[in-house]
Amino acid sequence: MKSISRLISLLSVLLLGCGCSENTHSVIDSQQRDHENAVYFWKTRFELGGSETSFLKEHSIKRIYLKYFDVDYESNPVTQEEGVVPVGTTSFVSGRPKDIEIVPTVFITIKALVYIRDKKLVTDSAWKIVQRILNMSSYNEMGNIREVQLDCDWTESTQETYFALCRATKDLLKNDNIIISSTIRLHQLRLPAPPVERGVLMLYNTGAMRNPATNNSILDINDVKVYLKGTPVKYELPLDFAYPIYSWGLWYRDHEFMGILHQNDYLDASRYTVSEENGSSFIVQKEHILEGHRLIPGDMIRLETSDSNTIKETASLVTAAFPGKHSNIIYHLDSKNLKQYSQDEIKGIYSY
Amino acid sequence: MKSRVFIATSILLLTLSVKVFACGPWYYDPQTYLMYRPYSYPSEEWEYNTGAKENCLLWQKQCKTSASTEDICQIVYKTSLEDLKGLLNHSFKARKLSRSNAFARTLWNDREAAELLVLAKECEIVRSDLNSPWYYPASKEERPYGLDQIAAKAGDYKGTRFLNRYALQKIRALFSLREYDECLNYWNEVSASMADDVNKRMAERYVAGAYFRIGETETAKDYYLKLEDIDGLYFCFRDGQTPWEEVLYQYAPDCKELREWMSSRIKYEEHLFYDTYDDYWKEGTVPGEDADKCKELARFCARVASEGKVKDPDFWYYSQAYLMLMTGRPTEASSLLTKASRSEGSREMKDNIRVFKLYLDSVLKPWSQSYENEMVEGLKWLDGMIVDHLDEAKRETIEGGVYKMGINLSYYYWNDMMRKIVLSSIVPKLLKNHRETSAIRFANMADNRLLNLVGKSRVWYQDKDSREWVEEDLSLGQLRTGNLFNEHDYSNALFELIDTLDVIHLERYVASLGKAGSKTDAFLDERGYTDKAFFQEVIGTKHIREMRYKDAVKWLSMLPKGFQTRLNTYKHGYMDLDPFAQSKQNLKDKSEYKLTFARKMADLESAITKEKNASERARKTVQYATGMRNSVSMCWGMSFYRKSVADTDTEYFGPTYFSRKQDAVFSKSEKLFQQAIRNCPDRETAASILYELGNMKTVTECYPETKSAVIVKGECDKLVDYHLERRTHYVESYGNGPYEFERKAATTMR
Repeated sequence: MKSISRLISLLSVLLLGCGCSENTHSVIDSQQRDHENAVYFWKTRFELGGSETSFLKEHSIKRIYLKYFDVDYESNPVTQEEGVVPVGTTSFVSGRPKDIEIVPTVFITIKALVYIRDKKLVTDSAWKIVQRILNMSSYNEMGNIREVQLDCDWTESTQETYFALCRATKDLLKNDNIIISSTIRLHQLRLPAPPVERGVLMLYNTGAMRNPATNNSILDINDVKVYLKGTPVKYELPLDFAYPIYSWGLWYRDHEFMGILHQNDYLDASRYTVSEENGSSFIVQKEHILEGHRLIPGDMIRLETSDSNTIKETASLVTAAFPGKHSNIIYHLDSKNLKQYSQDEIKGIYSY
Repeated sequence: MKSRVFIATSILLLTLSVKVFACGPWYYDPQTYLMYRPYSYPSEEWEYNTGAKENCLLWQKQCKTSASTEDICQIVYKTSLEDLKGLLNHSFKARKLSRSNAFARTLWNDREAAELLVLAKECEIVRSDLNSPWYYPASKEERPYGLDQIAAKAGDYKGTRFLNRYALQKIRALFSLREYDECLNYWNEVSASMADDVNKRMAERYVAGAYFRIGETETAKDYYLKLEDIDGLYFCFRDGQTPWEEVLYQYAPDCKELREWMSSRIKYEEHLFYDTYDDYWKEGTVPGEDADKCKELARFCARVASEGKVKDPDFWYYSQAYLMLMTGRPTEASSLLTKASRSEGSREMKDNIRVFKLYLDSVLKPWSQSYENEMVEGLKWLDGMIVDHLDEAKRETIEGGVYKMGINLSYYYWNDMMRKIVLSSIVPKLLKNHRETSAIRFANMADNRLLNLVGKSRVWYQDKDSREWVEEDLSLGQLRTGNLFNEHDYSNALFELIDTLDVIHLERYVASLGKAGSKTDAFLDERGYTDKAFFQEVIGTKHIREMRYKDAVKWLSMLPKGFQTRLNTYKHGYMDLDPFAQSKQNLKDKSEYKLTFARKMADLESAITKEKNASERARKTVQYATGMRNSVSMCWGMSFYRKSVADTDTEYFGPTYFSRKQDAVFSKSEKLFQQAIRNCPDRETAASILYELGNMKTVTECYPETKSAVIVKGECDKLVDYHLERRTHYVESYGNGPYEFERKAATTMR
């Protein structure tokens, strides 16, 4: 019954709230959220082990940006239907850590964005996204939701659809006093800000991963500098900053880039051996499927990580470029990532 | 019961395969038998699909149970999760289920199987929810969201008995979770250990889908091809522009779906071509847009047939040929069939090609001895096909009387084709070449070959004593000599032909029966209905119809006694009335009805000639004219086998000429009436003749002084010329000629 009344409420908002101005930020709300340490959780299984829990306590984490699911375009070979669907839904093993706010985060693929260009599809998708977020939050007892974040690598060509999706989502959440935020990639700084209440500037994925000559595609200060140069002094949105402490594998076959592998553990000797040329690269030994890719013997995986000094240097740069109150968010909470950094290094990142 | 189900199915098939009028008449031109016959794929069982049945049989084997597949199907596919859990946990409610279902009893004692079914049902329920990928329960009470647990539990199975079944559940769960990599890795681990059964094949569908999702479309394609899942295949390779058939032709040129597609398109056009209302076949081509479609399809067929990518170019040439036929190019169709017969393919298709070729030859080739020899050889082959393909099911249907050849209803392909070729092409050609006797022989074979093969006919009748409906299988002999309606011999193409041809041809045909003729005649006679009496009766009747009573006597005398009881007209009471009465009067003795009548008419002919007394001659002439008139009107069963009612006339070989022949008889009989009255010197006699005819008004007006007029005036309030009125009514109804002869004759006399 509760869910039905919520549905009706959401529908009413959807129907009646279309005329709201898009830049009416919940200023008080969003200001209250400044200066809080936060972390992204980007795995599909929300399970906090001892090291993660300690991390949350040690660094006074107040918010977890928890990826709930991705929204992707899908065509179904069985039913021959097509549309946007949630994929990679996170399964919840752990409960919400005490005194920590969960910010449901949803990644929107470009394919999905292209598909929902039609206005009706935009509002329909927004409704589905919001409904699913709320259901997942209540089912998994994630506490009061105060913010929802959309993550998308939108560009000029898809900007209009993304902004429409943000507006529709914001309208739907308004009555529940939930604000909406959006990730902002460095290249998006040059474009108008999306119609949301806050932005999180992603200071990672800065390099060209396809280019074999790229030093580190996760974070390279020189790349950041290029993006920040010429950026408007005052961005239209209050920004928080997200720094990487993750690693990934870049997969190559015959020196050609094949894809990203999020797994950062290539120690299974039955499948991989360390490259003789480069200590951070691995050679596939046995054919297997990983994250939807068929890896065959001879393929190379280059494991990239984020250097804490580079992160700090980046933090200095962006806080200078966007002075004012902000939160620092680490991407992302994973014991495998965390153990590569000392407490001090993490504290150093949060101190900016 | 089996036969009833079959008959019901057959009726359904018939209604699907032929065109019918909304309210009748139920008649189809023999030309319109549908000839295009690409493939005959086995039909799926109606109860549940073959995969489900195979699965139930596997359950039967794995659980070593004697439970029927129906019981297993009930539990596996239709029982609720609650009931399955009840069987696992031995609940009170489930005990009841186990009493009524043998497989439930098996599960009661087979915990491993029951556990698996519970897991499978849970997986099914959750996956059903997930059919809306956006579904997510708002609370834990709403639905246990446990596909990952299901996958894990299925993966934990360590046994061998249900390895395939658990693997399938795990793969399903992982696929539904969109964990494609895990799904495929698991498949690669487990597939080698899986037995090749229905569960493995079902799992392969998910595997194919998973490969597609991770972008390995080629691998997905291989799986879909192996599984013959064309929808999946098309889905992999569609690009929004390339037509479905092109995608299939490119990636699965030998798939049956491509052939079914082409067949269904051609079948659609074929139905239009032979549609009873529009009769495009008479014009030789389907109309405009459809002709364009046919040409486009023909181009596709030509490409497929010639590019060497398919194993059955014969089918594609055959299809192309048929499209040519429907677009007015039978000659090109014929040469394509030559290619088709020389191309690779199936034996079955070669048979279809030969049928088509036989038909086209019958249409295209001029009549000659060499063509006749060739044609007869072809028909002998076709006859062999009729014999070879006549299975029990078809016999059953044909016996049941559903296959009504009299109206050219389609049912049995090989016989249909023989009828199409013979009745629509060969018989008309023979008639055109003045070979009427041969035409009768061919038509006879076309109508009777299959009946002779089946040899029985089912009848339903109401028992006179018990008043209950009785179903009985009669031999053809019993049917033809019994007292039930004979629905074969007086309403088919043969009968229509002999009923309308000049009687001389029928006499020649009868004369040739039983005599050593050509091999072709012998072949045809062996397959026809050659009871001479049947034809002799028709000949005698035709002579009555044509007022040659002595000839009628000659032929009708040849019949065995009581033959007339075989006639439907007799059975239905059209041989009851006195043919010499002026009004309806039943005969006391109606035995040898036609022969007695013909004899009397022949005697009257002779007596009239010999009679010297003019008044007496007039009386005899009136009696003769009355018999003549009545033989085609009140007593029409004397000279015809059915009344001419436009809606039921087939008029295939010529107009069913009841009216035309009737007119001639009326005309002659009326002349005789007129002549009798005019030549009657005695006014009393003339008046009494008019009185007998019922022309009371004329009697009083023209013969007021006669005794007859006095009687009429004394007894009638209203003076009517009943005979004249009947004639007038006839004219108004049929509009063919004035019949005021009595008045004219009377006026003349006055």
